[in-house]
Amino acid sequence: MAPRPANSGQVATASPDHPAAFRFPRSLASAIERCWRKAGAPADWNLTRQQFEGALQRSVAHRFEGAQPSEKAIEAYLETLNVHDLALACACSSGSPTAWDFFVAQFRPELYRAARAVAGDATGRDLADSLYADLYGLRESEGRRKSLFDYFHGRSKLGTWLRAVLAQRHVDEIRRARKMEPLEDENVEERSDLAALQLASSSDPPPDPDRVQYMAVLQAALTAALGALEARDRLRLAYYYADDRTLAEIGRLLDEHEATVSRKLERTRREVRQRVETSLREEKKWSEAQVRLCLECARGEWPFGLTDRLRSEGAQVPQAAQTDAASARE
Amino acid sequence: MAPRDQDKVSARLLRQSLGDPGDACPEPEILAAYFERSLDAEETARYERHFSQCARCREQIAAMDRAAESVLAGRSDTRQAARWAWLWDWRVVAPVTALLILAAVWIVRQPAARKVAEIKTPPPLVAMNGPSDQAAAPQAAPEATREPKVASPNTSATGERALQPQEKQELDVAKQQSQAQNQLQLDELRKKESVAKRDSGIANGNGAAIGGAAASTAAPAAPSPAPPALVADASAVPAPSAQRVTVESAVQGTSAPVKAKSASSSNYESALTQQTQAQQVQVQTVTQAQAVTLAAVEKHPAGNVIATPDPKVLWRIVAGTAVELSKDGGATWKKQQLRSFEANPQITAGFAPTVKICWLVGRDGVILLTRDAAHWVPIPPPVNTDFVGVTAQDNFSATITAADGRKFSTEDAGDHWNPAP
Repeated sequence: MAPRPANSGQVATASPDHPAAFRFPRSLASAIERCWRKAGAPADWNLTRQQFEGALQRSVAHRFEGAQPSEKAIEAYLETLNVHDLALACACSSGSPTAWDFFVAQFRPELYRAARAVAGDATGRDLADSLYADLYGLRESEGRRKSLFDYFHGRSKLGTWLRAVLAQRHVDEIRRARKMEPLEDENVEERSDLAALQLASSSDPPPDPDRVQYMAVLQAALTAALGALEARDRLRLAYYYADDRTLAEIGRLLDEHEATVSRKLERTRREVRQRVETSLREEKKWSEAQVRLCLECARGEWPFGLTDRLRSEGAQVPQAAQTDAASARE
Repeated sequence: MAPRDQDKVSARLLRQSLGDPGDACPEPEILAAYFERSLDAEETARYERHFSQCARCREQIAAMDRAAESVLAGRSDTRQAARWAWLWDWRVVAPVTALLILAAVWIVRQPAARKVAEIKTPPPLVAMNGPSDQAAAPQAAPEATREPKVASPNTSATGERALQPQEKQELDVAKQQSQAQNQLQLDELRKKESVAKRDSGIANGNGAAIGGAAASTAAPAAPSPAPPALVADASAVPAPSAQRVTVESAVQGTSAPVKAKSASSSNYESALTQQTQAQQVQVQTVTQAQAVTLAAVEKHPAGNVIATPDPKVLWRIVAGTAVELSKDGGATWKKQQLRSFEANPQITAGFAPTVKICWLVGRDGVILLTRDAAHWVPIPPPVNTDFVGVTAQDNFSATITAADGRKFSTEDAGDHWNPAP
C-alpha cells in the first residue's frame, strides 16, 4: 500500500467523539513539553508540536469526559500515556509517508499474526487487510479523511490497541453471522435441558402451589447476591459459568494463578449462598421452615450445583472436588 | 441428570442473573488498556463489572488473549532466529569458508610432512650398523625405547582378534605398494647421484672424502656424504650402492617391526597406519644421514672430513698432508702418525667403513689403511698414479679411483688389484 500523501490541511484536530477539544491550561505547559520530548518523533515524520498537543487534548477530553479534572489529575494521566505510539498514530493520521512506512515495518507482521490467531488462517488475512484500509483512511466524513488512528489516544500500546480492534471486529462479525446472542447456540440446549427436566419431573408428584413463588423469590435473591459481589468475583463467576472457560483460561485472562481462580470461585459460591440465605431470612422475613422448603423446591427443579452447595451444611465443598470438576470440564 | 448437564443449567441461570450490562461496551482502547492492566483501580472495577455482564466484551478479551499469545510466540521465534542469524552473515561465512579451504588444502598437500613432524626423534640411523659398533649403542638405545611408542597402537592391544585372510591380503598389497614407493625413492636418489657426479669435478661418488666447498655445495642427495657406517653391512659396493643399502636397510629396519606388529595386531587399520609411519621414518632416515654428513662438513669447512658409522668418530684430512681423528664429534682432533709417509704425502680422499678401519688414497700411488684407528700401513698401489677416490666395505675389500677415471678393486687388502667396471 503506497503511503498517503501528506495533507497538512486535513489533520484531524479533534476526535470524532470529541469535536470540541480540551484546552490545556498554561500550568501544564511543562508536562506537555515532557510528553513531546518523551515521544521522540523523528523529524521526517513531519509531526508538529501543535498536532501532537491536539492529540493530547483529545486524549484528555476522552478520558475525563463530562468531568472537571484537576491539573494534577491531568498531569498524572499524561504521564501514563504511551506518547511515542500516540505520536506515531498522529503522524500516520496526518499522512506522513515515513511514519506510515515505520508503522508498516513495525506492526504489520505482528498484526497479520494476531489476525490469524483471532480469526483463523482463512479469514485472518482479510481481517487484517480491512483494518489496514481503515487505518489508512479510505473513508471520508464531512470532507475529511477519517483514519482509525484518530481513535487511538495513547492509553495502551499501539499494538495492543490494534489487537483489540481486531478482536472487536471479529466478534462483531461472528455475532452478525449468527444473528443471535450469546455466541453459543445454547438456546436449543437449554430448551432440551428444560424438556429433560420436565420429563424427569413428570413422574414426580404434583408441585407445591407455593413452589412458583419460592422459585421467583429465590432467583431474585440470587440475582441480588450476584450483584453485590465484587466486580472481579462476578467476572470470574461469569467466565466460569457463563462462558464455560477453564480455570487456566480464567487465570490467564485475569492475571491470576489457576489455583487462585479455583479458591476464589469457591469463596464466591459460599458468599452467594450466605447472601441468599440472609436475604430470605432477613429481607423476606422467612422462617427456617420456609427457607428449607424453598431450597427443597430449588433442589427438585433447579438441579444445579450452586443450589446443592447452597443447601449443603456449611457449604464446605472440598477444594479437590472443585478442581476435579474443573479438570473434567477442561 | 448428569453433573455436566447440571452445570449447563446452572450456567444458564447464572447467565440470566449476570446478563444485561445496561451500559455501552467500552472502546477497544479501554479493552487494550484493561488487557495491559494499565487502568486505575476505579476504572478496572467499573469495566470488570461490565465485562461480567457482557459476553461480547468477554469474547473480545479472550480473542485478544489468543492474539497476544500468538504475537509473543512469534517474537520468541524471531529472537531465536535472530540469535543464530549471524552465522549466515557473509562477513562470517566468507572468512570461515576460506579458512576451511586453506586448511583442507594444507592437509591434503602436506600430509607426510605433518606426520613426520609428529615423530619428534630421528630414525634409528646407527642402530642398523650392527652390534659391532659399540659407539652406536647410546643412540640406538633411545631409539629402541622410542619405537614402542610408534607401535603402541597395535602392540598394546592384547587379546585382540587375529587378522582375517582378506585383511592379510590387503595388508600384503599395502606392503607391496610401500615397497614400490621405496623403489621409486631409491631410483630418485640414484638420479640425483648421477646429476651430482656430472656436476662435480671430482668423482666424489667413488669414495672421495667429503671435500670442502665442493661437497658442501652439492645437493643433499649427493652420494659423497653417504656415511660409511651405513654401508658396513654391505659388501663391495660403491658409495651410491652404499646409500642404496642404507635406504634398503632403513626400509627393512622399519618394515620388520611393522610386520611383527601387524601380525600381532588385530586392528588392520592400525597396521596400515603403522606402515605409513614406517615409510615416513624411512624417508627421514635418508634425510637424517645426509644431514649428519652435511653438518660435519659445515662444522669443519677447512678440511676434508671422513664420517664413520659413529657420528662422534670422524677423520679429517688436513691440508692434504696429515690425518686427524676426533672421537667427540669434531670437538677435539688428534693427529695421526703416518710413519711410512713422513715426506708429506698428498692425501686426496678417504673412506671409513667402521670406526676402526679407514682407507686413504693420494697422489703418486699413495694408499694407506688403518685397522685400529691408530696405526697406518701402506698398501701397494695397482699403478703409480694419482688416486682421487676410495670406497671400502672392510679392511680387505676396497675400490679406488684414479685421476684418469680408472677404477681398481681389491678383496685381499691390496695384495691383488683388479680393474673395476
